[in-house]
Order: sequence, then structure tokens, then C-alpha cells
Amino acid sequence: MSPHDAEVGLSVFQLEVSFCDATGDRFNALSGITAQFRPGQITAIVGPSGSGKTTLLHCIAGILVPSSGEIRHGGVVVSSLGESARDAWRRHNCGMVFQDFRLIDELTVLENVTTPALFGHYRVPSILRERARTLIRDFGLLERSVPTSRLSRGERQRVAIARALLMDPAIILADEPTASLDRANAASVAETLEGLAGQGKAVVCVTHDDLLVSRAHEVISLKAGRMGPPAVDPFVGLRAGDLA
Amino acid sequence: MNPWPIVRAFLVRHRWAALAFVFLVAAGVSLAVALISQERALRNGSARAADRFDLIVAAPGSQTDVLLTAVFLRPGTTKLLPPEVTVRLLNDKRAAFVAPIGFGDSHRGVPIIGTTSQLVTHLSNELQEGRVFARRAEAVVGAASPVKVGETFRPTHGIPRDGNSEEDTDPHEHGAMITVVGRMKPTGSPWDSAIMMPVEHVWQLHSLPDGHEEGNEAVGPPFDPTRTPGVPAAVVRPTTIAAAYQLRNAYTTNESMAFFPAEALTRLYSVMGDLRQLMSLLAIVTQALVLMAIVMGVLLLFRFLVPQLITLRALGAPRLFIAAIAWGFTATLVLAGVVLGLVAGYGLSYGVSQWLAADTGVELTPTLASSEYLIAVSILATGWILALLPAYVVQRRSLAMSLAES
Ligand SMILES: Nc1ncnc2c1ncn2[C@@H]1O[C@H](COP(=O)(O)OP(=O)(O)O)[C@@H](O)[C@H]1O
Ligand SMILES: [Mg+2]
Repeated sequence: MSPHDAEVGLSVFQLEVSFCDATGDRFNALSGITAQFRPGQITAIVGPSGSGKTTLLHCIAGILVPSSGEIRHGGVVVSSLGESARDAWRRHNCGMVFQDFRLIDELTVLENVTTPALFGHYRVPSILRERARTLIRDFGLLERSVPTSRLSRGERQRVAIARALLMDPAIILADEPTASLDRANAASVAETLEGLAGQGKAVVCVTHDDLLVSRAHEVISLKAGRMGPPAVDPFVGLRAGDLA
Repeated sequence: MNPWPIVRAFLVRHRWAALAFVFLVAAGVSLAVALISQERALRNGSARAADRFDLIVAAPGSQTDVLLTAVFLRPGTTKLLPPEVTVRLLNDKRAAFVAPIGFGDSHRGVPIIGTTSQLVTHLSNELQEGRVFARRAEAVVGAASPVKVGETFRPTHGIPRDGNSEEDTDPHEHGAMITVVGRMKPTGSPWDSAIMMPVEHVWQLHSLPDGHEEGNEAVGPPFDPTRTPGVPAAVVRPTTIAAAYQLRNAYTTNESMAFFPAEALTRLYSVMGDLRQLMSLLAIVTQALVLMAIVMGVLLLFRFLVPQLITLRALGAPRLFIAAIAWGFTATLVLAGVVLGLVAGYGLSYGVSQWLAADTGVELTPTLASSEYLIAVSILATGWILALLPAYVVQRRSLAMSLAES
């Protein structure tokens, strides 16, 4: 398999990320990560806490530059772009759901969801405003004019997902998107992500949630920054295989 | 790209911190502005009030005391010029006129000044109403006097100090009925509320020789050398500038002193130099406080702003957009503080002027001039530059690191 296969939407090749730990020693948070995230597929990144899942997601998003290795999207080598270019690439291609949501708590639900629309427009176009309202409704949220700091964790998580979807990105990068949700809401989010994959988007989820893993087409299992053998967990492997 | 909706939301959600910051900046700016504006208003106002008093001759002593009593009509005791000097002065040909100034009586709490019609005409240019006094039982009132033209009154002996107690005088009406025949134009000085009448009448009231032959009821010069008493001060209007200096030299002797009020005021300001230094020190201190407030405010606002700015970066927002939000938030607050400070500073200066004017009779018109605007602009500029700091810090740090930390 060539990492430079033009047909491949998004791929990472031999990623290596090293950090300094508290004592100043270098350690590899990720090493030897090679994977493809095809359009129309859900990829689940699983692994114990501290295994590098968020780090991998940030690499894919161009938030973090790997120490070595490559991130490609279409013909673009994202990992060798400059910072502003990576920001622009992320702005145009990625819908981000962060582990801690990262809502702008001064803003209301609608304002948070429409924030990405302000990056390129003087005011939020009414079509995007309507889209935001639909997303809010679809996620069972109320369009209240209170700052999002007043909402529950579950509500905040759903606002974060709605914001990631506003600009209809080709890639969705979600860090534990169902961690704060009850079963019903988690199921609805999983369904939404499945629907997005169905629309041809590349969906990448860091998750512990079986509900999401069971719908994934690919599962990347991380352990101390390395990819484990595929389908180490026969249960996960079976499910992923079923759907493929 | 429009940062304003987010800036506005930040301002609204953090309104108490924002208001506190605005008020802090405004308080500092207004204090500095009021101090400088008021100091200038005082200097200009007193100079304007003394402007028409060309040369003053009085008994040797403190020029400041004479200035305060003769021009600013503050209660005080002054020694009298010896009669011989007074006579020589009143009949000096190098002057266009010499107007004696005599005190000792009051009406409705305002001083009655004995002088000549020439000084009244000179101070007022032309009268606002009526005519100057031509007889002893006539008077002219200042522009702001509540006494009307045509009114009659009997002078009260003594000048009330601060308008109420008359400790060392025995208040009683004395002398003849006096009719007000004219009103002066505004002069911007305490003379605006005073009452002017012929000096001869004042002398008469105090049982002094009245400057003219026995039985001669004339008013104004020439004065009879044998029947002219000493006066506390005289205002001299020289014919030329050369004459002014000649006169000043001629009456700077053991028996008298002569000085230009403008000069005395300058000296007064330099005597009050300590006060001015204190004021400018205060102005500097307040400015330093404002700048510290801005720095502290910017650092505090950092805490509100930085996590949100990092979020925007993580979402892929353009750098300019993030910078505009970071800068716009603090810059708006600094601008609001400076504008509010200018307005409040002018208001403060205006209030103090009103209060001082009511107290002294010197008309004070506070203005905002270049130095005040300069202070405002420099604080604004400093604030606007410091407001770049959050934007700079957010852009500089590694995004992954920032995300992990905040
Ligand atoms: N910016 C960073 N600097 C140093 N170490 C980091 C940084 N980010 C993550 N790490 C470390 O890298 C490892 C992987 O972290 P992370 O990807 O967040 O794990 P996970 O999301 O799987 O829980 C952890 O040991 C974490 O402490
Ligand atoms: Mg994580």
C-alpha cells in the first residue's frame, strides 16, 4: 500500500510524535502510525488513557506537527504546511469535536454553533444560521439565549458536535464525542456520525464507547503510542469486520 | 470576518470586570485632565481678572496681599499710603488717570468700593446699563450684583468676612441714602458683584477729609492736596508703556510700592510653585496609576480571553480574526475609559471652577486643551498597544501545548 495513493482521502504515514515528560526526558507519544481514513468510513481510535489517542487526532487535524512522518489529504501534505496554512486547511476541511468541548462559554448555543461561519463572513449568512438551528434541533437542544456555561455537560457536548458540523466539513475529528451523553443521546450521535459517513465524509472518533466502536469500519487500537495488532479484541474486531 | 459579535459577547458576559476596568481608567484620566485643566483655568481666570489693573501703587508690604485685596477684593488689612504720596500720585501727569481704591463699607454682604468714575469706565469699557456716578450719593453696581439700577440703599459699616460674621466691626447703616445709577459690564473679576461709589463718599462716611475744599461736593480729580487722606491702594493707568515703567520706578520707594498685577500674579504662581508641582506630580501619579490599571486589566482579561482565543485557533480561525478579537476587547475598554475620563475630567474641572468662582468671584472657564488631549491620546495609545499582548501571546505559543493546558 502506498501512502501517496491519490485515491486515498486522508492518510497518515509512519507518524512519530515525541514529547518531553516532567523530568525533561523525551518519550514517544506516538510511533510508527500508518493509517488511512477513507471518505465514507468511520474510524474508531481506541486504547487506554494516555495511549496517544488525542495526540493522534491533533496530528490529523494539523494542530500538532509530528516529529517525523506525514499527513496527507488529497494532494496536500498537511504536515509540511506552515502554521497559518494548516489553520486554513483545518478551517476548510475539518469539523473538530474536542475532548473538553472547548465551547466559547460567553456565547449562546446558536452563537457557538455559528462561530465557524464568522471566520469567512462579515455576518453569519442566513442559510448557515438556519442550518445551525436545524442542527440544534436535531441534537435535541433548545435555542436558549443563555451562555453555554449554564448548560449541562451532555448539552455542551452536543453543542460542540453541532458546531463541528455547521460548515459541512469533509473530515470529522471527534474526541470522545459520546463520553458525556446518556444512552439515548449517545445512540443519536452515533447515528448522526453514521449518517455523515454515509454522505461520504471521513469520520474519525476517539472513543471508549462500544456503541460507536460497533459502527466503525476501521478500528485503530493504540497502546503506549503504538498501533496494536488489528482486532486484538476479538469482540471489537468482529464488529468492525461485520460492518466493513 | 467580523470579530465584533464575539467581542460584544465577551463585553456583555464580563461586564462587571469590564466596567471596573473602564471606571479605573476613567478615574485616572479624569483626575489628570481635571488637574491640568483647572490649573490653567485658574491662571487664565486670575490673569483676566487682573488684566485691566495696569499698575497698582500701595504702601510697602506684600504685593500678594495688595493684589488680593485691591483686585480680588478679598477681605484683608492693608496699610495706607501716606497722604503726601497719595496726593502726589493722584495728581501725577504721567498717568491717564489714577483711581484711588477705598474700602470699609458693604451692602447686602458685598463690599462697597470707593473710587473714581474713570476706573469704573475703564474696567467696564462702557456701562451695561445707566451711567457712572456723578454725585456722592450715587453708585454703580457690578454686572452680577443683585442690586438693581434705581434702587436706593444705605451702606453698612464694615466688610463682612466670608459673608457672615463681622467680628471686629460693628455693623450699622450710616451715611446718606445712595442711589444706584448704573451697572457695569461683566469683567470676570470679583468686581462683578461689588458696588462702586465715589471715593469722596467713603472718606466722608469715615469722617476723613474728603479730597476737596470744605463744602465742595465735587467727585473725582483733581483732589485738594491739603484735604486728601491716605488710601490703601490706587490703580494707575499710564499713558504709555514707558510711562508705566517710569511710574513704577517713581513709586517704588520707602513709602510706597508699585507693581504690575500680571507680574505679581506670575510671582504668586511661582510662590505657589509647590502647589503646582504637587499638582503635576499628582497628574503624573494618576497617569502612572492608569497605566498600571491598564497593564493589570490586560493581564486579568488575559485569563478570560486566552482559553477562548486558543479555542478559535483550534477551530482554524484566521490569525487576523483572533488578533482582532483579542485586541478589540481590551481596546474597546480602554477607549471607553479614556472618553469617559475626558468627559468626567471636564465635568470635574467645571464643577471645581463653579465652586471656586462662587467663592472668589473670579470667573473661571475650564477648557480642554492640547495637553489634556495629549494625556488622553497617550493613555489610549499605550492601552491599544498593550491590548496587542494577548493576541501576540496566543499566536506565539504552540497550539497543541495551549490546548493541553487550558
Ligand atoms: N503537549 C504535550 N506535552 C507533553 N506531553 C504530552 C502532551 N500532550 C500529551 N502528552 C502526553 O502524551 C501521552 C498521550 O496523551 P494523549 O494523546 O492525550 O492520550 P489519550 O488521549 O490517549 O488519553 C500522555 O502521556 C500525555 O501525558
Ligand atoms: Mg484524550
